[in-house]
Amino acid sequence: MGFGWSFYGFFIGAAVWLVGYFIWSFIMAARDRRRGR
Amino acid sequence: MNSDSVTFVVVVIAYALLIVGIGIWGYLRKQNEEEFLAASRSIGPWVGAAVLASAQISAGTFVGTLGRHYQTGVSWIWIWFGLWSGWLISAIFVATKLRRFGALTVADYVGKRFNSEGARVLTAALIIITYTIYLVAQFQASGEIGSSVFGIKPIWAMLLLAATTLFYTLGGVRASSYIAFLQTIVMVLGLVLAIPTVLDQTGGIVELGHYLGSLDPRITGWWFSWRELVAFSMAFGLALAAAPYEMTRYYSMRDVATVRHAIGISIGIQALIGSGVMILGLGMRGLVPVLPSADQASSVLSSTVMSPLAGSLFLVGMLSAIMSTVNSILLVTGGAFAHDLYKRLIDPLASQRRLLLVNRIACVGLGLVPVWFALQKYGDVQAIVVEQSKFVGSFFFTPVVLGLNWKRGTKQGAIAGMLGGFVACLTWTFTGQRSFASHGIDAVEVGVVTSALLFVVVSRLTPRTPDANLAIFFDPASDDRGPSGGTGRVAVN
Repeated sequence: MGFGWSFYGFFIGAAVWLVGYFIWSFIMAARDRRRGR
Repeated sequence: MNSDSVTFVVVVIAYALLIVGIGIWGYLRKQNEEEFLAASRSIGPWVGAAVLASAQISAGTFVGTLGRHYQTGVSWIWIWFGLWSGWLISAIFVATKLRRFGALTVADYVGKRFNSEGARVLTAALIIITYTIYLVAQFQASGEIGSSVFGIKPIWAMLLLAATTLFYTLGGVRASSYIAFLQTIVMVLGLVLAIPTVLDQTGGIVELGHYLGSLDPRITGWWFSWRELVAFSMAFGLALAAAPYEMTRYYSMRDVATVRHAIGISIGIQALIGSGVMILGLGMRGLVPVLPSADQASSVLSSTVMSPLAGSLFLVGMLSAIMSTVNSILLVTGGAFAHDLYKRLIDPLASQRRLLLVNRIACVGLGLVPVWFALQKYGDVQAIVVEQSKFVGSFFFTPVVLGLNWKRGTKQGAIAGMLGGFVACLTWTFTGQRSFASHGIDAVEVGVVTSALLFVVVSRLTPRTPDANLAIFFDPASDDRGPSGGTGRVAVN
């Protein structure tokens, strides 16, 4: 029995986490720009 | 000395000379306290991300975490999500407001937000105590590396590491930040070179998985229960969300948007390094199934499994991880001593020159004390890091995260919360109640819940903090002052 969900799931989770974070980060930066900050 | 040893020594000396050179450059620059502690608020997102990541990636990662994967397999990797939850909390609820405040130390925030010199002094004292414990783990790891790779006594390895790190720490945050950038590149490079070597020798990732699974299915599956992983993750996440050695680095970045982007890039770097360390730990279990101590897995990897040059780079990566963390912590504890204790309690009229001198002397003193404790070897590196994280989360999460987002919090509430959280965590840890088997409740959970309850209840019973102190953190007009463009600094003296 080799690697399973505990191994491959981490990489999927990390990718989703990063994409989600940067979407939020750029939305916040755009909001700041709109408000002239 | 054989040719392999010569390669190791040459690479390590070249690396040490490079960072000492940058440290001298930093030392010779014209400095005041703001330049020394916050690089005049000029650090950009990439260097900032490297600083945040390299402060986070420590001996606990290259030695302790790698050893933990060696010993227990894959499932420890999931605690990274706990850490990143801490980063997320920090990015959303802490970093923006702190950067707009733009002070010099974390205790500055506590003093201003709660209008209390007592809370400021208590914060500084607790930071110095808990982070000195953290340094013990870093020095212990350097001792392991020194004895297993170079065959020297741990004390000499510890002193050499302390001396080199102290040297460039005395150059201030700007030099330290550029060195952290370099160290992050070295750490990633060391892993990138190590992984193919190890996987090649184990026959590939799939073969490795089958072999480790045949040794014990928990190695490729779930060694730790979800309950345990959540508790460990909470310890790291809660400590990270309010970690002074990361928060003070926000102060040195250009603006709020820079801080947010830096945190995101830093999480990417951590994902890369975390997964690399896991694969190496698993690979070492496949290649050398029995070691006297799991903490030795990384140094055995660099000295016997890899080629001399690749092993040297990996070793330098390990040393970088340790040094960058020691550096970040010394900047925080030295700053806490000089800026928050010396200046407040001993010499309020101290000149900038004297404060810088006291800061540097404090860095030296606080850098050498943990060496003695490290020689006693109280536990494995990862265990020390986990325990320390629990204490920081217990006393500091509430006043930082709740304090920045709940106006009604008061100085009495903050002091009660900090002391109560610390004592609760200490009591739970040393009375044997931390055992999952007996109660299923971890010390960090007890510490944070106690701290939050005391903070809320005592704050409700005591007078509000003056609006003048709260404006910079809660007033929308203050929000518009800060930002992506301005410094948002306020007087904190």
